[in-house]
Amino acid sequence: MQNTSEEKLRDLGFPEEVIQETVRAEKRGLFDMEPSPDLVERTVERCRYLLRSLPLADEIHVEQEKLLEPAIKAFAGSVFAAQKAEAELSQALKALPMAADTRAEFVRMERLPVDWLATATFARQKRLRPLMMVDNHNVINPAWWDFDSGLRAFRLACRVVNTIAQQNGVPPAAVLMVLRPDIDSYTQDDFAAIGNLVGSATSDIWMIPYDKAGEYQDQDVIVLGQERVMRLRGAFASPGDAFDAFREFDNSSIATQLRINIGQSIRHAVGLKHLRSRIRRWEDARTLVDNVIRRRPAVQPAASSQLPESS
Amino acid sequence: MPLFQTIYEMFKRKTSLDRLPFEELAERYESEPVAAFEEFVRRMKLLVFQAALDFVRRAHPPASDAEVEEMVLKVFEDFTPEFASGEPSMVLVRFAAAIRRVLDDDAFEAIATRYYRQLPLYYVKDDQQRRFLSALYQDGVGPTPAEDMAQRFQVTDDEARRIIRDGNRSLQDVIESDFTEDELREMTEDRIRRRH
Repeated sequence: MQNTSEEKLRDLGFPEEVIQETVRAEKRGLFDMEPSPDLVERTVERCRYLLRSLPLADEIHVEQEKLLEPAIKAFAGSVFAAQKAEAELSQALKALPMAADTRAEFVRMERLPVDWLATATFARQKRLRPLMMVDNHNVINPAWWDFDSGLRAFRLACRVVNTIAQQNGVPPAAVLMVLRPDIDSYTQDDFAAIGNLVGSATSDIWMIPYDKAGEYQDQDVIVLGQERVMRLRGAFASPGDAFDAFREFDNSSIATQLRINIGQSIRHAVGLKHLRSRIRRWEDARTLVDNVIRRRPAVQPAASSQLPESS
Repeated sequence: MPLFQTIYEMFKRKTSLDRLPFEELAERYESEPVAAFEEFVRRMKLLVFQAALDFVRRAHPPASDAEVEEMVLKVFEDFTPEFASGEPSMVLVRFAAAIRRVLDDDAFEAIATRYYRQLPLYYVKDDQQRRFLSALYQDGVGPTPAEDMAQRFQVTDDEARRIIRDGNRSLQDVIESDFTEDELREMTEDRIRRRH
């Protein structure tokens, strides 16, 4: 490292001991080599037998669902009960145990029940799916859905809306999973998470190979209701980084076009509804993903009964 | 706050793992062992890789990728049973001991300052500054940190420089005000000191 680089580090406010250590590391060639991209995954696999095998804490979510049950039923029970249900759902959400900092945040979020239930209202009135989502494995790691409590919570919110939609005879959310180009880039945890998603989903799910995904090869897209669009592009090191990068806007014409586009992509994808009961182990999910990537006939193409916007 | 983040933040009830200070990360092992361990590996892999590279070059030159990565795996494997056993606040000291056991003292010395500097940085309150600093130290700082971060976070070089400068000031404030001398001495083997 040249002195000019030392000066640059100084100019950036690094303390002298950090600068000198970085300079020594550079001189010893420690920046010449880099770890493999999959080193984290391989390390976790290597150490898995030493990690405590506690079940993932699902109790919280079960508790949440129980608390939300009356509000869901009330909302679904009558087309005139929306306001009452929103109030009840708001109360139910407030009753959830949560950390103090989150509670403070919640106080400012009175809009949440209204916004989220507006999606269900849209589904009931328009007879369309409450939300459509492109879940891109190249953008969000599938395994995050299993361990990240925020993503699991988002799935719970989807479940609430899907329940309302289904009780009103409306199709649930549509999820188009964009696969990675290479089966070997998935980890066992990824397959386990995909298996969990497919096996327990209340949404309708399709899988599409990377090279067939067109404009959705590099992005996650969520269309909520009539006009809300959320987009995420790039690769991220963690769920937190990913959520910080989500771009959100309201535009009904873009939302409508995206619904059409996602629906068209779904027609080239493989529907998984009939396979749910057969995905029990991570190996099943691996076989499924492998079959879709290789376009093997073991899985049937999306059937006409699963048209993306069917009412 | 946008709706999606609202839903995310509201329902998750727990701070995202990548934002947790090390001692809280060790505590989260109880409920999310794989995820907490994975986050720990993600934060430490580059510095451990540099220590392993230094060690293998001295012990069995020349070092191949495979040899170096095998030593990295051995370090984490040696440490795993200790991740959540013992005081959460001492997790970095325990991991440093594993690095010395599997590699040697000199290998750890090659990374020691940057390694322990990660301890206080997760207390920096500004999200953007903390994200930049954590990414910087996870990358081992490197000779061109501003340019690297500008590319990574899609900001201009000038913007990256400003955020890093502000972040380094905030980090020093954290060191001065959020820890006592004794805590720093104990938790960082006296590698991080207050200036005042």
